[in-house]
Amino acid sequence: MMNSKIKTFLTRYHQKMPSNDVPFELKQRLSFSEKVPAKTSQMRRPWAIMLNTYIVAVTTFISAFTFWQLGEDSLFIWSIPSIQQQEVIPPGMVTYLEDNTEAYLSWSIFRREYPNEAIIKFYFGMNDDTFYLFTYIEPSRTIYVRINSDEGQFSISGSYDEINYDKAVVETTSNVTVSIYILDGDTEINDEYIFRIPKYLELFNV
Amino acid sequence: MNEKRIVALLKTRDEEAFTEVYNQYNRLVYHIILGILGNENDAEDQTQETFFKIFTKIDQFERGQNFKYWLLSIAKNTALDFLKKQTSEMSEKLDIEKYQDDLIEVNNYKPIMEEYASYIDEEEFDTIVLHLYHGLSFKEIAVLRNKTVSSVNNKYDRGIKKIRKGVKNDEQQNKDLSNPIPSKNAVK
Repeated sequence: MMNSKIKTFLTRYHQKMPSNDVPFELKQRLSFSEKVPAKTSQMRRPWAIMLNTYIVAVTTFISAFTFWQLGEDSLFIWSIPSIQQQEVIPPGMVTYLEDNTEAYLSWSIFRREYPNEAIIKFYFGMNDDTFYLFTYIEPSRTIYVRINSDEGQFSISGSYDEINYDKAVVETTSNVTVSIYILDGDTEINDEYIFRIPKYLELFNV
Repeated sequence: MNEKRIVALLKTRDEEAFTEVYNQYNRLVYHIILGILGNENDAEDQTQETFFKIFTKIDQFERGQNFKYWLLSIAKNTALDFLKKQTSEMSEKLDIEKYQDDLIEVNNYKPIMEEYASYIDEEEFDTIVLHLYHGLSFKEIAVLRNKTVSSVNNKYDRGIKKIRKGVKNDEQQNKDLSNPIPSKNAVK
C-alpha cells in the first residue's frame, strides 16, 4: 500500500498539473468537422484511382485463383474487392477464439461533399477489440449487410441519403459469415461479397 | 479503447479519439516539456503545439511503432525546437547543440517542486512522478531519460525515503507550531 506521505506528495503534484480539458484555442486550430478516412486522401487523384483499380483487379484475381486452388476455406478477407486492403488486419495476428465470444458488427456512413460519395465503415469486433474496413457508396445506392450464424440471421441496411449507425451483435457458436451486397434500386450492381470470421481465428489480439 | 483503435480513429480525424488521447497523455507531455523548458507558460503552449502536431502528423505513425514513445518523442522535439528558436534569438554565437544537450540532462522542475526542493533533487522528483503518477515502468523511464534501469531504481528508492522523512519532519514542525506551550510534564 502506498504510504500516506507519498499520497500527500502526489496530491500536491496533481494540483500543479494542468487541467485535462482540451483548450479552446487548440480545438479551434484542429479541424474535426471533416472526417477523412486514413490513407485515402491521395486516392482522389486520377492516377491514384487507376492504381487502386489495378490493385483491386489484381487482388481479385489472386483471391479467385487461390479460392479455385485451395477451396472455400481460403476465402477470407481477401475476397472483398472494393474494400481497402490496408485496413484489413495483417496476416499473422491469429490465435484461437474461445466459444461464446461476443462478436459484433457495426457500421456508420459518413458523406463526403467531394467526390460526391459516402464512405461506409464496417467495424468488426470481438469483446473489446475492433477492427474496421471501409468501402464507398455512391448516391442513390443502398447497401445491405447480412450476418449469418447458428443463432440466426441479422440484417442492417442504409443508403447514401441517411447518415446511419447501426449495430448487430451475435454470439459466436460457430463461424460467422457476413455478406455485403450493394443494390441500386432493385438491381444488384455488385457481386455479393462474402467473408468469414472462422471460429478458430482470433482476429484482433497480437 | 485500445491503442490500435485510437490510432485508426485519429487517422479519420475523430474528435472523441483525440480527446481521449489528450486526457490520457496531456499531463505526461506537460511534465516532459516542463522538464526541458522550465517555464510553466511555455510548457503549456508547447504541450498544445505537441497535440496539434500529433493530430496533423498521425498519418506518419506507422503500424508496429509504440504510440506512447512516438508521442513523447514529438513532445521532446517540440520542446527542443522551441528552445533552439529561443536560444538562437538570445545569442547567435552560442553553441546551440551543446547547450541543448546540457539542458536535456538537467531537469527543470523548479516551478512545481518548490516545496519539495528541500527533500529531494529534480531527478528524484522526475523519477517518482513518472513512475507513481504517470504510470511509467522503470524500464520506460530509463529509455526516456537515457539512464540504466538500476540507476532509475536507485533514484526512486532514495527519493521515496527522503519524501517520507521530509513530510514527517514538516508534520512535526507544524504540530510544534500549533502547540507552542510545553505540557507540564515536559517542564522540569
